[in-house]
Amino acid sequence: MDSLERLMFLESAVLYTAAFFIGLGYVWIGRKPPTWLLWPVLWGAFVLQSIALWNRGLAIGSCPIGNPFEILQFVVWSLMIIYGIVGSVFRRSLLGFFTAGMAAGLSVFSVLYPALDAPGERLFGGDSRVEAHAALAIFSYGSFGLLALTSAMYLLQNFSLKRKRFEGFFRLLPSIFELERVNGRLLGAGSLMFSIAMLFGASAWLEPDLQVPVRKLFFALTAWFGYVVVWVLRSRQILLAGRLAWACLMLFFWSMATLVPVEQSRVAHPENPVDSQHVP
Amino acid sequence: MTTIVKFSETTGQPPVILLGTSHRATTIEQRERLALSPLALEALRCALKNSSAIAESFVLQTCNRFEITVIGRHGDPSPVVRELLLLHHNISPEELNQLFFEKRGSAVLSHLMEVCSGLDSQLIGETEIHGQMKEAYQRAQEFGSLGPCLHRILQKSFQAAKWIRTHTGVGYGMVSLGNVAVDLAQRIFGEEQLRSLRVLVVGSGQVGRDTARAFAARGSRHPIVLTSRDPLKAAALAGEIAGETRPFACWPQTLHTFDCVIFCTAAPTALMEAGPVTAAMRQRPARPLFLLDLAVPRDVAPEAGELDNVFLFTFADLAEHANRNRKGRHSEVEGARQALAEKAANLWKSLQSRNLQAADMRHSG
Repeated sequence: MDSLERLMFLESAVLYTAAFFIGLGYVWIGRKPPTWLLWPVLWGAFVLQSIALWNRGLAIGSCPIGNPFEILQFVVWSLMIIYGIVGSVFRRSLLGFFTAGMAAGLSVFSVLYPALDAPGERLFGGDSRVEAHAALAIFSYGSFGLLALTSAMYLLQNFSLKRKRFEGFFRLLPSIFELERVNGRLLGAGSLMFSIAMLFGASAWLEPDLQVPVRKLFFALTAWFGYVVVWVLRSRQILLAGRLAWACLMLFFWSMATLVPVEQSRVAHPENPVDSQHVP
Repeated sequence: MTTIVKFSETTGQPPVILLGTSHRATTIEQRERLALSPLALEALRCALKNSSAIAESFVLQTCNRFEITVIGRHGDPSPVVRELLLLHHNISPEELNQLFFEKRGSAVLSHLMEVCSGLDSQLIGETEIHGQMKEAYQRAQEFGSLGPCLHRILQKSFQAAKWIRTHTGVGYGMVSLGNVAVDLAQRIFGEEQLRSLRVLVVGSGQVGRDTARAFAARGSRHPIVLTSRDPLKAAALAGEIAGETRPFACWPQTLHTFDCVIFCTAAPTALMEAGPVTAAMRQRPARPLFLLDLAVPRDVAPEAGELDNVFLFTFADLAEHANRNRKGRHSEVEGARQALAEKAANLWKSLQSRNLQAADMRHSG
């Protein structure tokens, strides 16, 4: 990573963190963070991150999702894109603050651990199908990241209404009905993208010369299967409301946890250049 | 026949006492247990009127309070009133001491003024209690249990309440329960959905009617449906808010078709257990159900509120929410209390100096 690119990733992480603390300050005093203050910082971070990712892509000649650092950055970038689309629904809510929090957490974590971006084999060699699979899968994680946030907001609003706590922070949350509806849409969109990603991946995995470690395949398939099952159950109106929110939250944590075996496999099998199962 | 009220020989004070209970000292379950049916209330009024120890009496029963104010004929009337309370509420003396408070002399006057002004209400500054006290006053007059002493005290309380409303900021920024209910509906369904809600009002209680009006004022796309044991009352409100009426027996079967159900009946026991709500939610699992139980005793079993996607709020929840919404009211309330204390002290002096005769309203025949 050249110094300018690294600086941009760092600045972007700092701006995401600043956006989070601006939001936190306002929430602390029981007010909604003003858009005119929060958005320039948040979208400024996004622009810097986009430029840095673009540069990284040009430098490596492919989509910048070749190691855990890039994956985390790409997840944050996807999260912001999805927030840009969905956020307009929640104009008067705290979604921007929550998004800033998650973006700050993931990007700061990624820049604080240089090992995540250590030189080594790229995860997704040069096969276009595998790269498409990975890019789509990680983009779906942006959707799932936002889903985790809206699920957390659902649980908080549910808690506030059930326990009759209407003060400060809670009154800034979107309605239960809106959150449930957006959760369904994010889950559907994310699961669809993830499923298409798996189709791309499967077309590559069927090739005999490609060896996919079973452990990583297991982690990737469980995450995909989990989301699809939850999506189906939600569509059939079996898993709804609070239980749906908990399921989405846990699935996202599980998906993030799968980054660990991804990195372990990359270190353990540097000779295996094409490894489409490494998507978290 | 008239009887002279014997004022205390040492202090010259009229023997006025108040025994009561309110939301301040009791839980909703306790208030439900203490609430008297209309028949039992009449029986208590009769017993008070017929007691030889009591010259005048005034009974006030609302959702959140039960109070008896009496003027004794021959000294302290407290033991007689306590005995009647034990009998009519079917409680033990220990419970009576625990749940009821007693006020005497000028404290009774201050208390009645505060109650009438809404300062002692669960929703501080509300004006509904003023109307409820006036209704109780009229009822007592018709019944013949008031005399010159209580009449004067109550009239002064009404005047004090009016003064508080016009001369202090207690009522400023007053959030009505109806608006609080609409605010909660917004937090459950969102602003966009608010006009599309299907609202059912079960019963014809005043608070429920005010809440229905608040929903109607938001311009609901669907007519508000009203159902009551008294079809005339339901029809009257329906006419006022361009709603529809349905027979009282039908509403439980159609519960799943409504998003918001407001309960405000005078039923002595719960109308809606958790079971029917569960059954309704099976037919609308993805859509939240907002249950607003404004009745005391409650119309909805509390267990219903624990169901997924069901949000149950009681009168007390709404009052608490409304009170919190009003910032900076504390100093106004304290100022109003002081003003009422002065008025009560003046009235007390006036009562002492006049050495009023209380009329014995018992009919000789």
